[in-house]
Order: sequence, then structure tokens, then C-alpha cells
Amino acid sequence: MAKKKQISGAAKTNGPVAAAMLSGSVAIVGIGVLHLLAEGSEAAKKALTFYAPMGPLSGKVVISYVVGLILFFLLKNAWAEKNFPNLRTWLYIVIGAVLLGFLFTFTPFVHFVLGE
Amino acid sequence: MALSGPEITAIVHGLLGTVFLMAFAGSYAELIQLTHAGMKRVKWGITIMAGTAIIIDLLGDLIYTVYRAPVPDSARSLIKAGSTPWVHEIGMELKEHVAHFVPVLMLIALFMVVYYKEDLVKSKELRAITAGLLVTAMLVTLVAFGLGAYITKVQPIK
Repeated sequence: MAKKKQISGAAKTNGPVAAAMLSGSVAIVGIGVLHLLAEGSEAAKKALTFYAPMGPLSGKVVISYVVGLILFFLLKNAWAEKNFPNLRTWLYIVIGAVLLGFLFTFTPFVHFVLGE
Repeated sequence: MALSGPEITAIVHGLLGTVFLMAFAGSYAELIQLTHAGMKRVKWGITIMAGTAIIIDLLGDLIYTVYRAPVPDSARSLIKAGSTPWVHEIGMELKEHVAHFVPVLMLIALFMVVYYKEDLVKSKELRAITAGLLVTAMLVTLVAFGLGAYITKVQPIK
């Protein structure tokens, strides 16, 4: 059986993918941060209620997704020719964002932060 | 016995969750030993995962409006008034938010596959990173899926 040829890298720059990972991370953490904000302030909760039957969740998701998308298009162009030394670091940032998102939406932690 | 609209929506929501997990299994297996022939299957698998993740969230949001309806017999009102209010306060609060992480994770993975195309076959590093995104999305889905199943067991949507 022929030995598989191992090719170490890709021809394209990794800047646009890093942009996707960073903006996605911002969107994920954004949902958590807006949740903390909504739990801490009635005014914020009301302002985030874009669609009454869904409550403040509608605003948290819409704002986070829109901010993530805008950031992605800005960074994708800005980093089009950029090549980061290690793309794996950006994956760790995404995983960190997911863990932070979990923490910020975990009710006992929210109560702890708000001193309830 | 006829099923109500929200009940049918909840069934489709859960069924698509299963499709998502099946597409994960196929995509992940292909990524591990990717060949030029397998590239097409990975692209399809990740596209199906991203598509189902978006539809699952939209249906989930629809069911959520029924769940949290401001009436005494909505699922949320009944859970909060019952002996296990933590099911809403911890379980549902976590589920309703983390479920929205999955489409983001899947769109990043889809962008990687579309952007790198055949380079993915050449680079073990890129495949490992894509697989890492898929595993993260799958783990978040399992948490949301498990919490959803438990909440429905405690108080089904009607």
C-alpha cells in the first residue's frame, strides 16, 4: 500500500478564517453578556424585548448575531492578506467563548455576579 | 389523538436534532481520513449541519413563545409553580441561550470548508481545527438536546 503523502499547509492565508472565528466568538459571548445585562436591569430587559412573545431573548440573539456579522465582514477584508502563525489559537478562543457563554447564562453564576 | 401545532413543531425540532447529530457523525468520520472523493461528502455534511442548526433554532424559538406564554397553564408557569422550579430557572435559562451558539459554530466551520476547499485535504492541521469546531458544536447541541428532553418530560408543550 502506498504511503499517504503528508502536505503540511494550505496555500491560502488564514486571516479570513481567523476573522470568522473571532467574530463568531464575539457573537457567542455577546449573548451571555446581554443576558447578564438583562438580568441586572429591568430597563435593559425591556429594551432587549424586540419581539414580545419571545421576550428579551429576541434582542440578545439579534444584537449578538448582527454585531458578529458586521465584525466578520470588517475583519474579513482587513485580514484578507494576513497570515497568523497558529490558527489553532483561534479555535481555543472559540472554545473559550463557548465556555464563557455557558458561564454567563448559568443562573447560579448570574445570581452570584448580581449579588442575589 | 390529534397532535397540536406546537407538539408537531416540537417533534420536528427534536427530529432535526437527530439529523444534525447524524450529519456530525458522517462529517467527522470523513474529516479524520479525508480524501479528494470525501471532500464533497464533508461539504454536504457540514452544510446539512449548518442548515439544520439554523432551522432547529428557528423552530425552537417558535416553541419557546408557546413555552413562555404569559398564561397560568403555559409550561413555564406550571414548572415555576411546581416542585421543580429549577428546571426553568437553571435548565431552560441555559438551554434557550446556548442553543443559539450552535448556528454560529456551524457557520464558522462551513466558512472554513468553503474557503479552503481542496486545501483541507492537504492540511491535517486545518482538518483538526474543523473537526474541533464540529465537536464543540456537537457537545453544545447535546447539552441543549438533553435539557430539552428533560424539560419536555417534566412539562410537555401543549
